[in-house]
Amino acid sequence: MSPTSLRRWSWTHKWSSLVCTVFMLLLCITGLPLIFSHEIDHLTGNEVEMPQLPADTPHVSLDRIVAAAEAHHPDLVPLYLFAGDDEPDLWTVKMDTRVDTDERQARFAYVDARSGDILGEPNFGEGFMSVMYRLHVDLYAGLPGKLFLGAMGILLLVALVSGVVLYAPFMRKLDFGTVRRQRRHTRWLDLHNLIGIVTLVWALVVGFTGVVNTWADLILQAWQRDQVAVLQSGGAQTLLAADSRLAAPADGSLQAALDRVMAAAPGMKADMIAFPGTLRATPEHFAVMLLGDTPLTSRMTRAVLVDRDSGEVLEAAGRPWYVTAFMLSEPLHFGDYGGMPLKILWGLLDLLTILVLGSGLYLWWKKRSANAATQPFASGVRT
Amino acid sequence: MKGLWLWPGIIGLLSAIGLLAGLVSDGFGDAAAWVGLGVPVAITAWFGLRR
Repeated sequence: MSPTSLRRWSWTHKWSSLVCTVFMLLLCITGLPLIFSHEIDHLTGNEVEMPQLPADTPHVSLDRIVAAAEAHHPDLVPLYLFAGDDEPDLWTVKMDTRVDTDERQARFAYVDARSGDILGEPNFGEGFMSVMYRLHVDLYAGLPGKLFLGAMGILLLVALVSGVVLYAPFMRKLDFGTVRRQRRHTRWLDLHNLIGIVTLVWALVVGFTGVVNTWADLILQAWQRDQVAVLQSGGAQTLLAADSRLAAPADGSLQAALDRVMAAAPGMKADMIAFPGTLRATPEHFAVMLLGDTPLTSRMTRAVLVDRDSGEVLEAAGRPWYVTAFMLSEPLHFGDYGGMPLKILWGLLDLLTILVLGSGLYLWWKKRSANAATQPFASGVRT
Repeated sequence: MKGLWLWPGIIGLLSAIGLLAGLVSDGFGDAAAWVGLGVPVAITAWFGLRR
């Protein structure tokens, strides 16, 4: 590597890192408890207590679920129904003043699918984990906060790539894994290089998928526009015609609409239902997100639309590539797809990343004060 | 030059396989993910804590 390109790469590595380091430290620290949020909620009793009912108690109609939530939050309208991840008898209803708000003030209700009883509200908006979540996701600043953190994530990717380029000249005379312990400076330099290079692929993947996740709102809005455009041009595939009697005809109720979706897509499970007008639906259709039953397809929802009034079930073309990419970005960022051992490894790799960030900051500081000490008159002049 | 990138390349490849294997299959895939991502952690511990 020529001295000029070495200097350019060093400059790139220094400045891309320096600008994002504080935010990356924040993301690593707040991300650590978020890896284990499921377990922490469980331990702190922050989960719903399901009443004991006989196994196989049938579920009440979805319209009763919605009515219970509406009675619980009388001034709000329903936006989404979420199925419980590992609690098949629970619906979480998300509500807000209108269907097209930015959902930052949304309220929730837990409803028992078997009785239609309200089981309380998740306290997403308060407590330690909520603070961790908001600091990690949007710095309490909504979409601009997300996009800002996404930009910091792009700088991290630049820092990682430039760090790899610099690895060669720094390590040329050293065996892999060498940590020179004689001096503090060389020890931290060698540890920075070692940990940085062995955690590289994980950091690139978690960094890149984190950036993609910051675009979630934009991706979903684009998908919605796509779907509406396909519907308006008549290009959607009809899965169940309005006059099909495979399921009971539509009567404007949510349950009838869902029954028609399940008749059109047998073998799948409704994971989320979006009301007409919300971000994930269209103005006239309920959207139902369906999950498959293999490890990969259970991560990749398939969106089906059902006309509230006619009962026609449509699928607006296949899922576009950018939505697939977004859906894959969630597990690859969260590390929640390989059981507890993977979560622990995710936590350890997160701690190692903190060491890389911290040692980088230390090395920059030492170099800076060393330069100042050897060139006392050069301040303000390029050194 | 070749020797310089040998271990980082192997470790990177193992991490990548681990990250993807856990996603496409349960059981065996999860175990592959634990091995693939356990390697970078173990190597850091080995060289970092060695006296």
